[in-house]
Amino acid sequence: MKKAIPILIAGLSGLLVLVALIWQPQLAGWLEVVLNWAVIIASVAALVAMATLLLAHTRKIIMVRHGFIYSVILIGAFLVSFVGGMTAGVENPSYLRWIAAIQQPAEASLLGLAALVMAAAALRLFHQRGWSALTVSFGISALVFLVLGLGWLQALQIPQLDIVIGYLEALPLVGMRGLLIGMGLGALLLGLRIVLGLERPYGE
Amino acid sequence: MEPIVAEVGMQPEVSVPPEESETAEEQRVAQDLLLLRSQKERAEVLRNLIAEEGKAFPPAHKPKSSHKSWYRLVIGLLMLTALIGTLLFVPPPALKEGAVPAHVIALQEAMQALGAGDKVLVVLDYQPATSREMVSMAAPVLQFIAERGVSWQLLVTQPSGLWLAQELASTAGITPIPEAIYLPGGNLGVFALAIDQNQSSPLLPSGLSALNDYRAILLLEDSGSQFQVWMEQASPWLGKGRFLALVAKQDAAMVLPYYDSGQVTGYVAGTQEGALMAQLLGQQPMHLPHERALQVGLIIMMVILILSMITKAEADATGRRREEKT
Amino acid sequence: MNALDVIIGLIGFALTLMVFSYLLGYNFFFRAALYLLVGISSGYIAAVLITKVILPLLIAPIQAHNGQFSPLTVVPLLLCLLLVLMLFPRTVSAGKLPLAFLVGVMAALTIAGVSRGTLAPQLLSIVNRFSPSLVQTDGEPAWGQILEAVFILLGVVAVLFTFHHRTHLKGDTEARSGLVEGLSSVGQVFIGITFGMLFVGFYTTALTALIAQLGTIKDFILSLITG
Repeated sequence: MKKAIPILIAGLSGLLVLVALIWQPQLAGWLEVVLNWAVIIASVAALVAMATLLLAHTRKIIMVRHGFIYSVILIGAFLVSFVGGMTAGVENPSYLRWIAAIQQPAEASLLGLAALVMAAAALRLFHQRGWSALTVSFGISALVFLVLGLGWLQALQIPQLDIVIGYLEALPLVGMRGLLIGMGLGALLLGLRIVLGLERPYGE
Repeated sequence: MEPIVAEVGMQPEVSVPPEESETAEEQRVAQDLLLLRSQKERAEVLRNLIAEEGKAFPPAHKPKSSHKSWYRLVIGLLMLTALIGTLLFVPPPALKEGAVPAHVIALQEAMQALGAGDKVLVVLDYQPATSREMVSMAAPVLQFIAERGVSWQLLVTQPSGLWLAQELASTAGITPIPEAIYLPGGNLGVFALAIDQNQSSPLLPSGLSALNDYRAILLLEDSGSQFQVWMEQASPWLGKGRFLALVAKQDAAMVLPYYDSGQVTGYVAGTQEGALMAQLLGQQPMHLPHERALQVGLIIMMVILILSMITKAEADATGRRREEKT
Repeated sequence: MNALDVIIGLIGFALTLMVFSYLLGYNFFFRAALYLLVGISSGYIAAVLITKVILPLLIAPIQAHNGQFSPLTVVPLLLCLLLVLMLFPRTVSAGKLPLAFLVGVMAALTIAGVSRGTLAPQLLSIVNRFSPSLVQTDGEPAWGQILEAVFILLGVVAVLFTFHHRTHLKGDTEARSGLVEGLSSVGQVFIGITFGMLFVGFYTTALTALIAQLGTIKDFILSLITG
């Protein structure tokens, strides 16, 4: 019985939303209430996740475990930014400037680092994956899009070449559409399994 | 809990640092490098699909981890040197006119159809990591909207959007900086916004009209999955012809099918198309990033990919010769 | 350039060096930068969630009812309390109820969204390419349009087949028919082309971020030198 309650709640809430979507606008009020609750719960879930993270790192500091210095940095940074936001206000321009001063360079550098790591990984790409229809077409496609990315061919302004470039740029449409439909079907089936209680991502 | 939190888009934009128990360096490296949400999503999709594809083929060769950091350091330093050298000693090229792709013309036509009295909702849905690329595309477009006397509002869907909106408006030279309205709830919030025609939901921030009241919704996106959220949760309720998009280059492939199906009227992907768009709208394009440096980076990748193919072919040929001898 | 700009510029410079130190290996500076970023971002997001969601949507409605509880305000409050109980090992299972509710709602939105926002428009888009108004010009067949429509249809079918083929024939080493292999190879080619564009797209975005960051540091150093 205990196990059945979450399954029932997931199924009922899912069905309620689906029914409310079909019977619009009669059930619009109910849909609003359910969405309101879901957003609140999702936000609290995010806060609980953060609290779990902080508790884990606090334990690490208290027990002086290996690498506790990183936990000190994390918790110190969290407290500074959280207390700052709660006292100055999260839309305070001065507060936001300090947040931006950390987030902007750190995140941009991490993304930039990804470019360097990708370049290093690409050197061994074909050694690792071998030759196949997939890898060969991937390699050729990557080279073609890198050349197009330079913008030199487009700058020539030759009408026939522009037509060819237009076709080349539209070619991934076929694969992307196939992938989207494939993934969409998978997501649809997963959603149905959750509503029917066959899939339980919230735990057994 | 994490998958659910991630699903609603309310998770921190960075992943939790690795726990002490994770001792394998590869695991730690993978976690740390996939720090940004979009990176994580894209890597996940690619990894799953490639892994799926790889199953019917002979097992891939395991990389030699001992050589990994050596390769990384040499190639990383070479690339950094080339880029810094270009930034320091090569002046950025003058903007050239080139062929304009159909989706850029479609966006230009949609923008020029806007006039005084029209309402436009600008949705800022990107992360700090890609802000330079996004700002270089969005600033001239916002300048154009402001000059046309179009009434526009700025909606942000991520917490960092609050300061990114200030950065964008000040780069575009728009004064006074418009108030950024925060929409909570990720895809739940987008859906609530789309279906709420009489603005009665407590979820929706004050000052925001029903989505149907806007002549156009301009998405500033750097994440394919977030772009998909707008297409799936909002576009079915609004009909065609409402969505315009400025997306990071990494989302160009994702937008293609939605543009072809008419769910997006027009779009621009990446800084090059952004500069073209600015020229078409009669605005001064932003010179970010340094185009020559970008070209150097692209050429380096081309050389690396060709080298990878050649060395693999060479290794195969050597293997065959050895087999023939034995 | 005032003192605050210099400090902020120095922070950015230091963080960039710390992140790029990863090229030398997984070291103290790289990890410190990561933990700093996680801490700052989490604190900021927590403050935004509390001030923009929890206070106006959960607490304010209760205050608006002068402390009198109505079912509409009590239910989310109870569900949130159950979630908070997840912080304690003995009451972890209490969180299943609110999570189940959330999962149910999300699943329903996925079903509706995917079917109406992706599957239907994408499938219709393939079919619409065969509409008589497109494949005929003045009563004559427009062969270019017909070929394009057939090409897209076959390509999408091949990609979907490759998906299905890989999922259902995992580890199957039996010889496959030429048609199956051929269709699968065509699907792989289309997927490879798409991956190529995705790869270059992601690399270009990352490269743009790298160049912009290096450019910012260059400008900062130049402004320090020139005063």
